[in-house]
Amino acid sequence: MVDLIARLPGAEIDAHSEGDCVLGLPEPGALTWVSAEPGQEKPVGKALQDALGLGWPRPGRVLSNAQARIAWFGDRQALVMGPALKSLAGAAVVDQSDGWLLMRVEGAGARDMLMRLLPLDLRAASFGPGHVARSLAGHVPVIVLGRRGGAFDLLAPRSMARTTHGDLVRAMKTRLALRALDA
Amino acid sequence: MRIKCPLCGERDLREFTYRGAALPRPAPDAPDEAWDAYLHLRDNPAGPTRDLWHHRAGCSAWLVVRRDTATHEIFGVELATRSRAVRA
Ligand SMILES: [Zn+2]
Repeated sequence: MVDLIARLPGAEIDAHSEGDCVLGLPEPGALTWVSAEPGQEKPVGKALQDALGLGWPRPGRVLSNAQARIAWFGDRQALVMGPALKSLAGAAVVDQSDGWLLMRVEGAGARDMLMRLLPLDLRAASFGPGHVARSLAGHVPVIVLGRRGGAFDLLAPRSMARTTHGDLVRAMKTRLALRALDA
Repeated sequence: MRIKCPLCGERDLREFTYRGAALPRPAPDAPDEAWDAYLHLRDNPAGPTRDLWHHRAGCSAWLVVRRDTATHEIFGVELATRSRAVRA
């Protein structure tokens, strides 16, 4: 058997900071996609509750505790972030840890900067801690999770991670340039 | 145009992909005429219509959207999995 060398999704990507906006690359832990069979959200939620202390998330919401996050991921789908999951009765369980790059944007300008790039209403009144949305960053489908203090976690597909990272850095620079014009 | 996904809320058109008319699928043993109509025959209404849209860059759900092609008004959006419009 060939001995392959593992490469992390963010291997060629660096953290970046621009004015009042910081882009970091935290370690997300394991990412596991869970798809409940039709009508099985309740028992699968119960199994998740027993395993991680968190149940099945409502549409657009993230459940979290000290060890794990469970983000809604679509109809009958959820993404478990943190501890690895092997299997759950009544659901398809797929390890996607290698498939996504987690980028965290924080700082006073994070919200404003992200709204330049995503067609979402990310104002504090509409989107905050415990919220999740799947949408587009430029042309790349991404997952956005709201965090405390006006910070956001962005999951970009590994194959498009460098594009999304570049788009984020450009959005940070463009926002500052526009603000300098206004000043 | 903005479509209110029952799961994600109101979203920009760029997140959606248009599929075509939302029609009930004929039974597997339905006559050829029924399948021919299902596959090929379409009205082209200037007015109310019912279409399938895919929330491709969102939650990935298929939606049945009722809208007016003349006024662009959207009357209602439902998940295709819960819709009677696409069931025989
Ligand atoms: Zn949706």
